[in-house]
Amino acid sequence: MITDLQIAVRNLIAPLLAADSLLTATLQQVATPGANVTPAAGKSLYEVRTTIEVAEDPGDRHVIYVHAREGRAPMTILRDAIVEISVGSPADVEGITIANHALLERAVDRVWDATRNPTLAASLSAAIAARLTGWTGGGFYVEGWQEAREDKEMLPVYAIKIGVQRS
Amino acid sequence: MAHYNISGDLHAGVTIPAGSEVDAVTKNTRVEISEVVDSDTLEIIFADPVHMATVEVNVTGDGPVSIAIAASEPATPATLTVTRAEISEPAPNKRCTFNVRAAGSVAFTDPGTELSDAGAEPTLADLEITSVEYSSAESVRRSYEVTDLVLVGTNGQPLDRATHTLKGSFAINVKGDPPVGMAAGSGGAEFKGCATGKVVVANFSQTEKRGDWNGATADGGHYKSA
Repeated sequence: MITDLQIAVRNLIAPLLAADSLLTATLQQVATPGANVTPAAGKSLYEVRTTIEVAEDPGDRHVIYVHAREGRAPMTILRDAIVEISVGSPADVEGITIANHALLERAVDRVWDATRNPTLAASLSAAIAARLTGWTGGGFYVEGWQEAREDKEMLPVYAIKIGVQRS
Repeated sequence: MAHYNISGDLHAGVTIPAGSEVDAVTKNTRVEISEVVDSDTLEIIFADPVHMATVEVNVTGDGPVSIAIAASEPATPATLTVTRAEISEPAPNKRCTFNVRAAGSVAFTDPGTELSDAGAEPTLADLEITSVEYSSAESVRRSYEVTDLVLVGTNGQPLDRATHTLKGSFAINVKGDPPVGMAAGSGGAEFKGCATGKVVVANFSQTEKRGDWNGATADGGHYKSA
């Protein structure tokens, strides 16, 4: 279930980020996640990946990682999952800047803003149903950016609590 | 649909103060149960809900800095009217929180269509309520009690004693949306393994809370001889 949730969330947010005009004015998303393409001249790229991708990190672009872990399992028909999204930016690569890193972090926040995306809960349910037969979404609750844990080398994560229920 | 957020359905009819946001809502429907005790057997032989239910909505949330409340004459008894408002400031420079309680009274018609199979003395195997999907029931409690009556003699010491008027009670907590049919009134819950009697849900409550699943509770009485 967890791996399917990661993929469902990636499939959900990738097009939303691609449609974010504040983001696309500066950064462009690679067309094919995992494709080993060189960033276009003068244009920085980013990629949305789950943390279970087989292909290695590209190393030449920003990466938005989608990770998920089990929450508590209160019932057999109701499950909780915590989705954690982080932004990774390789060092010493042209076009990779702190400003663009921050731009991506703000874009992640905008994606999960229910006032901007009032149909997001329904879209999330559809994305979950597409990956998990017999299950659907039970809504989401944004916990927001969480401090990096202990080691300062670790990335801060944007946590979203997601409900999954039997359809 | 069970969800993590506030739908607005439960507190429909309650005006939320401007500039505030709702964190949790509870809507409780309560109906009194009229009971008739047989003078010979001292058992409850009739148990029916009265024809009026009280609906109470409790809303908590963040903000604002002031809430106004005033006495009024609501349009109808069923109109939800704020009867209590509270605002608190936990500490300097922290956001205010509010709590609003509203109530109304509605005509109640006992659905009565879902007759219960309840009845016989419970055994361990019977402590199971079948109208609730077990996957959604978070906890189930069922108990029985009799009234203990002691007659004091002329010397002030216990002279005689009787236990009478057997009455059962139960409470069901549900995570997610309430199962179909769970409501105040007769039925609303069904006990497994019993042959006669009546189950009446006296309190039915639904909750919504930001960041948690919807929930529902039902509690009431089981009348073995009704």
